[in-house]
Amino acid sequence: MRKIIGVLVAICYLMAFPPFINLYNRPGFVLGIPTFIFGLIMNAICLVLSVLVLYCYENKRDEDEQKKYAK
Amino acid sequence: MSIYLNSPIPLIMMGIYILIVIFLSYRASFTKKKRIKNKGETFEEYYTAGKSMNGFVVAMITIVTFYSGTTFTGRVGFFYEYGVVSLTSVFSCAIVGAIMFILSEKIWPLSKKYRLSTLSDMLELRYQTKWIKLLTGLTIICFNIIWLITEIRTLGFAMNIASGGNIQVEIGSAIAFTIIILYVMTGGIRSVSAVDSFSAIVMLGGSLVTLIYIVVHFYGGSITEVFRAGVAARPDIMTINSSVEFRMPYWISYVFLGTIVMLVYPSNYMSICLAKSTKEVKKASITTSVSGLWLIIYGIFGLAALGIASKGFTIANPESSLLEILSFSGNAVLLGLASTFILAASLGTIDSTLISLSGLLSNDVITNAQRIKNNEPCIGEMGDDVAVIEERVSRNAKVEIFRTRVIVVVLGIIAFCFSLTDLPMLVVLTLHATNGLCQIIPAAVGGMYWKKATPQAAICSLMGGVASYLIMDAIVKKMTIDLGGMMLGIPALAISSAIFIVVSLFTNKKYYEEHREFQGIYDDFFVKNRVEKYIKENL
Repeated sequence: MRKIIGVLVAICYLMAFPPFINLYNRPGFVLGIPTFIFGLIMNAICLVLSVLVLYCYENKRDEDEQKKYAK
Repeated sequence: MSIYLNSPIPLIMMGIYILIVIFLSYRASFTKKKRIKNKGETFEEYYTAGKSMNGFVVAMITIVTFYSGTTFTGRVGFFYEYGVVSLTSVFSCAIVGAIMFILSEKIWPLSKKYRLSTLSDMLELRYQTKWIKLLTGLTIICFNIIWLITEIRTLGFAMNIASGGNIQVEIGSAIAFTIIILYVMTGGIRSVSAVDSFSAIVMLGGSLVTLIYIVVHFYGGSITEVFRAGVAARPDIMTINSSVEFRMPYWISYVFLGTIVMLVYPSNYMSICLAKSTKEVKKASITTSVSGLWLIIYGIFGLAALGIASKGFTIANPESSLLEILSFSGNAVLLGLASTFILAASLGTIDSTLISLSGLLSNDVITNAQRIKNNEPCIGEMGDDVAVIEERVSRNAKVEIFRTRVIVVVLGIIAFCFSLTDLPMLVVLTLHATNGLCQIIPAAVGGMYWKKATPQAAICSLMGGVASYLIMDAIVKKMTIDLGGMMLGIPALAISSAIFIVVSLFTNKKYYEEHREFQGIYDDFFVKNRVEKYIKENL
């Protein structure tokens, strides 16, 4: 799971640099929000959610292991 | 139009906030129970509260440390002038959480076992030399003090606005900074934690309320109208392009350096060492990441300032545009709220930076220099017995804490004097801060994650990185080369990394053969779950 999340985080990070940033580094609006700001926020949300998923997954795994040993 | 309103309300609101700060810091350190508890205090307890804080407190301290008063003044002004290229912090702060998440797994267990307080402590443990600790401490202090200096100015600015111009900026800085020095000096990290938790809530809540007010009052309650008006005013700066002074090289270098500097940022390490477990640090790291998204607020304030011209108002100074907009509304309560949350943000950055730097100067430089002179053993050199570690942190505890308290005052006065100097010098130093701190990264990250890292490599890379950065900076200035805003910390970091790798590869075999007695320490860094097992069995 760490490897998958690591790859996702790396992709999100790379999306902040050229040439990938050109996907949202353009004039105009998306849902009324300037395209650049919309793209930046979406990218940041993906990054945050990736770390959150990793935390929840590892937390659940540790709790299940503790229950198993307690039995 | 003047940003001052003829009303005492802003000053009253700020006064209430300051009274609450004084009360919280008193309660954190001066009650009878706390005074009794503090009698046997060690430096570790003064600096990291004995690793007892929960994730919420750690998150609040981290957030309010990162997001300073300058966020709502300088950064809004920067967006006003240069547009979306200024939004580097949104992304950098979102990824800080991921960095803290990973770092905590290595740092927290080691700092718990060996009762470490700073990054330099960690490097002394890893490299078994006090010299790297001294050099790292000095580097961090020299480059990080600038954040203290710039925020002291923001304190005075907020007091000046709230008082309707009656309190001069310098006097306002002096009043607010004196209060900060007093509670940091007396209460240490416990006072800072109490105040910062409150200040973070004031900052986050206050900024949101202010944004909602501006959108409702000036833009008919429509956030898309804010975006439309802002873009219409300056469409050329709504993408990163070549028409402005700060372009793609600035964006790339700032996002990159802004991310990796978190690997060595001293307040980050202090925050990690504050927590009562790795899990609490991880909770705090996710909260910090989410707050990176909130940071877009300064971009929205910038857009609101750009669009305000279409409503018949003119911004006189982009750096005070947020406060000018509120003055246009004539609403003294909102102006008071904005001044207060800007003060809260500045205060939160200043107190944690002040204690962080004071601790570094006391522990990593002065005490360490004495230990070098007395040829005392390094951290971990005498083994990992709990009693041995306890003896190390308890020895001279009173003297160390007293010294740290004195340094809080001395460093505070020095930083305050610098804050009275002309702006150009401060702006130059601000650029140096992130660039300089990044030169510690090879030694720190390499030491924590690479088995072949050697102390010789760490020292050479640190000195080489800082020297090459300063030389390149001098050359670029002399030849007035336009780099599009690119930060020279990046090529300097490449040089320091190369030095680190090459010297490590040349020296690691001989070094590790001659130092087999430290294998236990190296195993603590590189054998999975070894330290966690020790903590479960012994602590």
